[in-house]
Amino acid sequence: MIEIKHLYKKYGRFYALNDFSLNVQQGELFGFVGSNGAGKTTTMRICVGLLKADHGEVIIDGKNLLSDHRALADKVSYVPDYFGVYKSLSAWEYLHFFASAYGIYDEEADKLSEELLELVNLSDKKDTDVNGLSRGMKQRLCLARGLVHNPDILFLDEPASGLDPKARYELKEILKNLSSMGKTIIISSHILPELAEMCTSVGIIDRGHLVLQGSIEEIHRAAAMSSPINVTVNENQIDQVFDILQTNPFVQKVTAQGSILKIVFTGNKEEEGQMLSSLIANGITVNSFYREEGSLENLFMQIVTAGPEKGKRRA
Amino acid sequence: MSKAETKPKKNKRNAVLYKEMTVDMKKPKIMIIMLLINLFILPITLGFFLGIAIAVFNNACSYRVLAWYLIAMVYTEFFILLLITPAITAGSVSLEKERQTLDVLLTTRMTTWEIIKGKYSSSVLFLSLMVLSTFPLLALVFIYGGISLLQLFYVGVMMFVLIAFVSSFGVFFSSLTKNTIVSVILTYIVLMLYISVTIAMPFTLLGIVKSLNDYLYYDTTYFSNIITKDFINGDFLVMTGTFNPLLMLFDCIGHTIGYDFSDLGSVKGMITICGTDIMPHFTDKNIMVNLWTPISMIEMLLFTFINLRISAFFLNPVKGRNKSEKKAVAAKKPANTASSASAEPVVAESTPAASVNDVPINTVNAAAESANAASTVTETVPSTPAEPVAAESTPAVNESTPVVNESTPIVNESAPITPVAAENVNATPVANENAGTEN
Repeated sequence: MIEIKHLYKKYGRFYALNDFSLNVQQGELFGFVGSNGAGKTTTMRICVGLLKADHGEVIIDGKNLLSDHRALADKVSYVPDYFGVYKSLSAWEYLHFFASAYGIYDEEADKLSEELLELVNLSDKKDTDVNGLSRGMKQRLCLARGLVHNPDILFLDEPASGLDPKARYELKEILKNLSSMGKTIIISSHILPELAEMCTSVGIIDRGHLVLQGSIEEIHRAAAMSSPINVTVNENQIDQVFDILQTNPFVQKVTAQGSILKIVFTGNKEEEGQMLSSLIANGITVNSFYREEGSLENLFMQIVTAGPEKGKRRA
Repeated sequence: MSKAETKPKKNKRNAVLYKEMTVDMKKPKIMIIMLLINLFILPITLGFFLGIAIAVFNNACSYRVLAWYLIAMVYTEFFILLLITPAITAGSVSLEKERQTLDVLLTTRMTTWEIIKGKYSSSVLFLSLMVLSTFPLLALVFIYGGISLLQLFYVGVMMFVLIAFVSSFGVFFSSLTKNTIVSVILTYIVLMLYISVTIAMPFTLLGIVKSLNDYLYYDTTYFSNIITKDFINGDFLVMTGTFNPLLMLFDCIGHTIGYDFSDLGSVKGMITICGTDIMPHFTDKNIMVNLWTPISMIEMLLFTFINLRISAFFLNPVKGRNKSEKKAVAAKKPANTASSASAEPVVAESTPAASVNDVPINTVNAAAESANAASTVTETVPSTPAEPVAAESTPAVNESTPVVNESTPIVNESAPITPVAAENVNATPVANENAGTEN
């Protein structure tokens, strides 16, 4: 559906996007995670034709549409993190205006505005001034605006920022609804757990580079794997355990805390079991053996902070 | 969610124009401005007609008084327009930028040219409406006659061209700058400069030609063969004045209403006065001079069109993107970022492939590694491959071990294992975390 190939974007001497590549399949609810300044907005703006990439291409449905404004506009829709609403326009007029910007007029636009307001639960706010709407409502109105021309791909830039839990829930429901209609939705956020709740797949961007992409299950698994294994053994056997573990290629690091050993283990479940059995085979009394609950936050921090801080310190 | 079955190639109606005409025109602001303008020129009407009334009471009154009433009105309106047009047009696009609505508008089917057209024509229509609203006051001259409807229409057309021309300055700077205030100031300054420069231009150029001619004629040593006093024909240079709106207004009024000082009645008249000396080749019969106002109008409309085209170009966020240029960039790019080239293949292979079927944790590691590699590139530290990073991370791990030492004596044994960890940078955060929990 969307294929982003080797995008580069430079602001001054700073690479906002550095060889950024990404694939999003049709119908996916794609979460685009990264810390502030990682390049999320830059990527989105390039994809919708608001910014020119220094190098690289964006292929949508097998065509590079960046040079064809109207074709691109028909395919994609962009809802930025700011509202961009006109003062003194009612919600209905606002939608009408954007409908006409897409070449939809009169009765057709009336019908469309009606439907969209219903979709985002704003039917009762039809004649309210856009400025008088709450943040959540504005966000939903902007979403409706993005749907005016029935695009295939929706780019939402931090749609949930600054929303209260109720508004966030409502937004989430709408997005799930849209996703079930077969639209490809790309949502950016700097909070991974938030996206994990609704997305079908997630990509993590760090300093203009995609560092991890996968389905939400894979991400969860990765999160689980990233946490250490806790093994409780007899205190007098700890020396022995260390010797055994040193030979295991999947063990990265072991720290002891009384009789509890925390093992950073890179292998999968099977290899985990093999490690346990090798411990038992060597006569170690294993009192407990379990993996800590992995959190997405930890995973994200692990990926994102792995490089940059050290890099900065060095520089 | 009804999809438009047949999407037209082009938008039938300009959305921006339509919105501004239907929604923004309802604002009370519009009415207030219109009222103020009429109030501004009302004293002229009152003064003139009071004067006429008094004159008629005493003896008689010339029809020409009404002509002068019209002249006064048109000139006043011209200066009002010169004053308010930048204020109204210079914010048209930059206000959209400030309200952050422009981005959203740019992602729609509308092209920048359409947006500019919509913004521009709505300003022009609004200003025209204001001029039109003063026409009832102008039409008062018909009470006594002396002016034909056609003449008034001609003046109206000229005013429209003036509005169109002056508005294009505002839209141009508005699309160029991000800030409305800057745009307004720039528009005023450039407009003032433009008017003063173009009004001086024909006379300056003709003066230069004249002095050149004099030089050639009187320098008998070198140019003895030149025997005419006007060897270089620079008369056409007077037409540079057609770019000036004030001269156009002067000429237009002179041709329609007339100024009463006979020869000085228009640009043509002025030329007749000083013709013999300054412009020996042009006479008052010259077609170009006679068509001063139409020529001026055409030039100004052309100027306006070019101005708007340039504005649309500046507004386009992805301007200048074409295939050949892209190829040129593509060819240049690898050379520019030679340092980053090392990082490219690693990522290209690892990320997508790993995400599909590999063990997830490996994905994370590979990705993190590539992130490290990328970091060394982006920070532009050329000679820092993965090893130094790892070396640096080892102290961090060692730091954590003494803490562990305090709690349990056996942990010394963990030391031989840590080097294994040191090979992988990824372990560091976890190690730090553990140290933290132990504290």
